[in-house]
Amino acid sequence: MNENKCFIIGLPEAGKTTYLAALWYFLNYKKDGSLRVKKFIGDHSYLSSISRKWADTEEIPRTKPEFEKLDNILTLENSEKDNIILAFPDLSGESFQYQYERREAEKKHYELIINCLGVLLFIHPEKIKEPCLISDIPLHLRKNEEYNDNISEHSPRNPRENDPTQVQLVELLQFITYMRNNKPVNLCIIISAWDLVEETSQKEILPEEFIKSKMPLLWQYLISNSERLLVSYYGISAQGGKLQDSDKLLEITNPCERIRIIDNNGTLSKDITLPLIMIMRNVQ
Amino acid sequence: MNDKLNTNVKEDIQSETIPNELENSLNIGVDVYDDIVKLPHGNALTFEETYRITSTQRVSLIVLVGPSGCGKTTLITTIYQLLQKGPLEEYYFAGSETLSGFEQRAFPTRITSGNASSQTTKTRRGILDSILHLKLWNCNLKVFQDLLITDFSGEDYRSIIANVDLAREEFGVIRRADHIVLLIDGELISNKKYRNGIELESLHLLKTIRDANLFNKNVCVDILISKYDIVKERSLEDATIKIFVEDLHKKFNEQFFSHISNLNYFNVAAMPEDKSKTQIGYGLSALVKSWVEYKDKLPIRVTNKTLQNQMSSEFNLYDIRAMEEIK
Repeated sequence: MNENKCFIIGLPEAGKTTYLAALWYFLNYKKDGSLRVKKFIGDHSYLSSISRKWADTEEIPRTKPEFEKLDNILTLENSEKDNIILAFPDLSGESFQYQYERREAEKKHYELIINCLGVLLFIHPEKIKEPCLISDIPLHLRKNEEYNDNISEHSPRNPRENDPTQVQLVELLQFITYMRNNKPVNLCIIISAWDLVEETSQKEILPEEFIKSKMPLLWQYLISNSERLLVSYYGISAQGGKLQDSDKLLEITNPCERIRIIDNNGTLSKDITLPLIMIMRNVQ
Repeated sequence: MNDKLNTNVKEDIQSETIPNELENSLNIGVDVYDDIVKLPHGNALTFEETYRITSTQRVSLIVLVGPSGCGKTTLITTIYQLLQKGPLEEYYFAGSETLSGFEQRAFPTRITSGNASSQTTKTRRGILDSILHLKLWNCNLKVFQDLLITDFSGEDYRSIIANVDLAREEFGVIRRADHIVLLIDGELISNKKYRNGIELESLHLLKTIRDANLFNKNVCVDILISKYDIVKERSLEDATIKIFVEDLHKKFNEQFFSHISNLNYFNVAAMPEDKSKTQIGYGLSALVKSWVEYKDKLPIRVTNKTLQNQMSSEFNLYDIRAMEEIK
């Protein structure tokens, strides 16, 4: 039986652990999904605990670097009853910031990267830092005394805090292609908390269009490197709404029905395993 | 130095137990140590570090020339900033080995720096080995083109004016340039007090490069007036500025036309003071296109793949020899 390894990247609070929590719940309860749990093998207590929080609409704590779980091995079966072993590590966003800043990766991450079949890249729409130029501020405002009084002190560059999110993500993807020696890999871009995107958009928007408008550098990079990064896009609302509206969310008796996922054709679904199916495609 | 490092890495790799699955796909080019993997530094590259790009990719070397304050770093930084907002016409951002180098230079122009005005940091004197890399992709032709753009100190350029020996010694690398871009400070040529001096300095700088035999036969020279928003605005009050600029073009043509088959003129306002009058990156798209498209017009010397690989290593040997000459 082949082991399908996937690798998950994203900066802090990108929605990686929430996805994993919803996924574990879905795999155990939803019978008509593309994938489901065949049996428990080993220790799944971590998945079980985050999954319970998700079901109760509680906030799921972020994964801290010291509590990373690299050995989440799921034994699944697909609709044809084929067995699939899926390695699904839960890595902290800080680990990727560390890679970006220190220019080194832990060897255990490297091993996952070079052996994985696909990569899930998580992006939270409210955590995107865009590059804002001083020249973009109208001149009359810059000449204004009040503006000059209000600008903060000049401070040295702190890459993880100051560099635009799209630059950090392009660099992380460049690291992956570098470590894999340009070997092609399936890449699934997941925009988490998709309900927030829908709420703020004037018109219907598709996941790729969102990346194109909010992170144009990343979008160009993905288009131009499509031979080694086989990209698919999804917008996922794992909770189905804001945790502040938990009463409303809990009115839905089956937590799996809260999940909302949209693909790049605009097709809506509740099957949170779709990105996994996509990254397990054979790479030519 | 790289060979030495690779030998160490190979020894490190051999001395440890490698899992079977890892062994199959281990990339020897990646520096793997006991617990960590070294990733590319991302800062501006040295010439030696550019070999891995020049030996495998389609590369144009762009050498920006001009005294301190003329806008070389701002020009490079703004090209990168424009790509952050979208493609430059049909040219898409396809990667960079120097993202960190770009970010370092771009930071003072961003609101997060806390600066009151957009001003890049001056490149320190003695930095003669600082090259930024951009990979572009033409979405119509589906081809990649790598640009290596120098970011040398303006003070170092000033020191070689009219000193052919020093120019040859310090800037031998110019001989490899596909494009030499001479930047002339638009703010200074809009000022009667300074414009004659800056014109003389610019002409002499290019003449020095020419007489030091640093032009290669295919080189394209771009004469670029920077801070063009100021030129435009001051021309409204002072009609002599327009005449001065026209004369400047004539003088460059007279002096260099017989030596350079490709002499072009550009007006650029990379970071204009008031974007309601002049857009950010004014003129840069045309400039970048000329860099990329000029390479397309040059004859392809080798088409056979095997031969091309051999030539690549020869090109590297040429690079090393050129470096030794420079040293």
